[in-house]
Amino acid sequence: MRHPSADALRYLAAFATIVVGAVHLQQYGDFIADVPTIGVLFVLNALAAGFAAILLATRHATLGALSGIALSAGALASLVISMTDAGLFGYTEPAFRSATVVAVAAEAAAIVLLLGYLAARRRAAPKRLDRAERERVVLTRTA
Amino acid sequence: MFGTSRRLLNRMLIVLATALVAATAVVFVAHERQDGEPAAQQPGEPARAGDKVQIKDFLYDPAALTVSAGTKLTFTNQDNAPHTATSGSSPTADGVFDTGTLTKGQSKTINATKTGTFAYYCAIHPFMKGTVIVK
Repeated sequence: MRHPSADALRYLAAFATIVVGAVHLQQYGDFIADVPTIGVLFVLNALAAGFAAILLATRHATLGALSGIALSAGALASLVISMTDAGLFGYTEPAFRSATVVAVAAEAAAIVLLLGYLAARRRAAPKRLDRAERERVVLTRTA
Repeated sequence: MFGTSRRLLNRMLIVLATALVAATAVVFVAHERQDGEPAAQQPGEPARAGDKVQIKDFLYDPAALTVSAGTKLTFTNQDNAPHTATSGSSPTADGVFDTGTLTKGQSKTINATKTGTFAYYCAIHPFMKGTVIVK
């Protein structure tokens, strides 16, 4: 059974995930492409965001939601590591740029919305009957 | 009716997401083709003479430069990303010279007075390395 609020969360989360990928693609084209390893990771992020959003529009939305959460959480964790002195694969994020702010906002929104979607979907799912209840249903139907 | 709008939204979402995937593939391939062009200075190539170092595509060009003592050496950042040219080996600056952070289009001139071979790096992106030989 579909739930309208679950659907709304799914669409909003998919849009946030697309924004996450779009920001990574824009940054790749801007200068990140020339940074060893990080450039490839940005391309993979944009591709994965696109595929996660496609999955969210199909019957495999749960897989899309889990992929989207992993993608955004991974991107956030990578950003935090890149802002430390050690950096990420030798790359240190120089400052909190406007693109970084948009990416963090989109990643946080995607995580919250996708978790909300999974919770709403779980609430809307038909209750699983335990064994005693199943037997009662069978007895009632056969009576 | 709700089913129809859901189908429409799903289609729009698929179109948008597919556009992102396609755009990513195009940008990646375009950049890889650009990378196929010869580099400004090949690794291992002997140090060049001159008094200018361009910082572009996360590289110092030339990466190895020979100058005479007393030369005014100019570093110019052409990247969108900020960079430095800091003497020493990451993460330890030896204090001989430091351009400080150069944003796009900014230059800094240092006076190469001391003779010797000086390694330098970008304090923001430590994988960027260069050498100045002052004779």
